[in-house]
Amino acid sequence: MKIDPRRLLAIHRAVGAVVAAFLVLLAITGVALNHTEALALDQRHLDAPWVRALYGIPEPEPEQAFAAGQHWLSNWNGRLFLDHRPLATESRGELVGAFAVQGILAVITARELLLLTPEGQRIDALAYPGDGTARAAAMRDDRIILGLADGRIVATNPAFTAFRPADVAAPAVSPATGEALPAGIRTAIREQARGPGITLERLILDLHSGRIAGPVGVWLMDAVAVALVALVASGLGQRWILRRRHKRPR
Amino acid sequence: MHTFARTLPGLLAALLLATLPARAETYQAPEAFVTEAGGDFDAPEVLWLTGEIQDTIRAILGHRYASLRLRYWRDGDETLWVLEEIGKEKPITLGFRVADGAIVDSRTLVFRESRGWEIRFPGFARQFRGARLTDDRRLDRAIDGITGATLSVNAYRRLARVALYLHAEVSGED
Repeated sequence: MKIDPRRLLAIHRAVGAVVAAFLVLLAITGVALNHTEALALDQRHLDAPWVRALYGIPEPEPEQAFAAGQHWLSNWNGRLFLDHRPLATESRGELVGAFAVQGILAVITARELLLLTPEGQRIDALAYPGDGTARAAAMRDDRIILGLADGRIVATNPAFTAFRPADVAAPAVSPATGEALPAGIRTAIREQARGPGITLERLILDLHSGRIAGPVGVWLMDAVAVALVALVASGLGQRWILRRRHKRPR
Repeated sequence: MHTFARTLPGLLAALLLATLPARAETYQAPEAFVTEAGGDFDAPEVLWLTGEIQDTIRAILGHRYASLRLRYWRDGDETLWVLEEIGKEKPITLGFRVADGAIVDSRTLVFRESRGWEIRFPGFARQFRGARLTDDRRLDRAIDGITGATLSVNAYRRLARVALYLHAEVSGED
């Protein structure tokens, strides 16, 4: 088959123009990656909404939230927040309920009852009888009533130092009856709970490899690499054709 | 079979275990510890950690105790304490039985760290038997460490000092 040199040149130029754009991207990102430490790319974090959307990082959401008097208790992946402030104590299991009682806050997690001051300082933490797990809670007559996973119903004593078996109706408050956290508190906690985002190094690396666009991006970068090799071949081929033309006697 | 081939499954299992996330391991529920020592778990006494008590605990632990209130159990001269302290990242729950200013028994009740669980062995806990506080609130004896469990061992030592101090505080032995 005879190849038309002018047609080959046109294809070479068109492919070259497309590949050139990717070459500029590869060159810039490659140089940046070569100087990751000097540019502190691994120290800089991106948390913009478009970055989170690009990487499919979900906005953190509270798993459970309960109003307790003037306050709100919420559980964000095991981290407990009193209003918008994080507590030093983790949630041992899901948050089952929260009540303001006798001037303190009673926070019922699946594995223990936390007693907090209104400022969030831990007064005490009581495990449930028989190493039980709380499924539901209620407050009646200044006592915390708990429904345990094994069907027992227990209640705190007046000093909140121990549980006693209780012959009362099963409590109704459970993780499923949690309430919607007010928007202001939710937004404030999100800022703390969402984490640092991704590093600038990761973004540049993904731009360089094409992974920023997923598997398609990787294949695209592979195609660019193949096209680059093809350009070298077609460039050398045209040079060879031109040299032959110049050598041919007129 | 080649020795390497025989040990490979074990090595892989150990590697897999090492990569598993830490979870709470309850060796003895606090309730069972108190009951076994003769205490009535549902009838604790209460000590509020305020003022000088919290200051002294801070001097021993290097930080405030996590709670404002401690429940303990008393039977004559003997007291029982269930205390928590962070080894590296998670709280370790220990039980102490103290009488006449000396530790009678101690146990690891709940361990939540990924490393250092060797403190649960009775051989380690046995070193604390008979330990007392010196005038500067240190243990009157050296406690041998455990390789790879330094932070847990240190947490155990600190809580032993706290238990002895609190016993003296509620017994008026100070």
